[in-house]
Amino acid sequence: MNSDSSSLKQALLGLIPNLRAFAVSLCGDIERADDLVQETLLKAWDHLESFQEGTNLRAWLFTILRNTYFSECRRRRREVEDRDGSKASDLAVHPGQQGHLDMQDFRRALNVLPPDQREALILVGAAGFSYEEAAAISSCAVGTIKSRVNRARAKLTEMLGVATPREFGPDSATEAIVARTVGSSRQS
Amino acid sequence: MAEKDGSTHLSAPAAAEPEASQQEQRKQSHQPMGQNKPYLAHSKNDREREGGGDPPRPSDLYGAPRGMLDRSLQAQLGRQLRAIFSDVAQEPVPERFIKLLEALEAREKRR
Repeated sequence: MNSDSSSLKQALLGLIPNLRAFAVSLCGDIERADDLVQETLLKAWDHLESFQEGTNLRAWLFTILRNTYFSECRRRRREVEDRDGSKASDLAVHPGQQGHLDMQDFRRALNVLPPDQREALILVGAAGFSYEEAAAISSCAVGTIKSRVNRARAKLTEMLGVATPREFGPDSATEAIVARTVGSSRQS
Repeated sequence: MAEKDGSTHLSAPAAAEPEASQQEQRKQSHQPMGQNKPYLAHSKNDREREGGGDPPRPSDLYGAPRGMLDRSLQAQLGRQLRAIFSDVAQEPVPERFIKLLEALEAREKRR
């Protein structure tokens, strides 16, 4: 018994950095991420009997964490949607950043993605899971994961890249010049 | 500041930059804002192409095939996504989790 819990402790310790990375990329907030990790560890410890020996412990923990995150999201959906709306408009009014992907922009854009697309992109593009593993973690079809990843990539490209169509309309071009003029006159 | 040479070198591109980006934007504008800018020789073609009203795609603007532009952007997105993840994944395990697991293990031993 003791050796069991000791080896489980060691295994969990080794996976905490990965869990935190997943949680932060998922919710965009380190404090909330650590709360998610804590809840995940507690659930994992208490439900170890539902873990199938020989399967991927990392994937199992990721599954617990994302389920915790998404049920929390459902609880605070209204609040989250409000916040996402304001973030999206923040992004849309910075035409000066064309083609420039700094880390802060990237984090913000990631947070604006719909959570299911963000999750798919992180699992496949950052955490190194296969489409099949990601589908098992998110309990959806492989095709669904693929299309979420594609939509997430397209949306990020659009938000961050030179490929933002609205930046090229006459209105936003004028806005950009006005913004620049205002900005430079403030500086001088 | 101390390097006189350095400052003169720096001032030239810094002055040119805003001009270049405004040029990009005016290319997109339907208003003939480039009258006093003779270097906008290509603006006529752009305006003809825009005639329909659809904004031009960025690939048209940069003369690169859309796929190529997207691929380099995709590669950059991938790098940044992995960077966000690995930044946190490389941090040491916070004390609170070490204590939590020790407490869970201790609880187990008492059973």
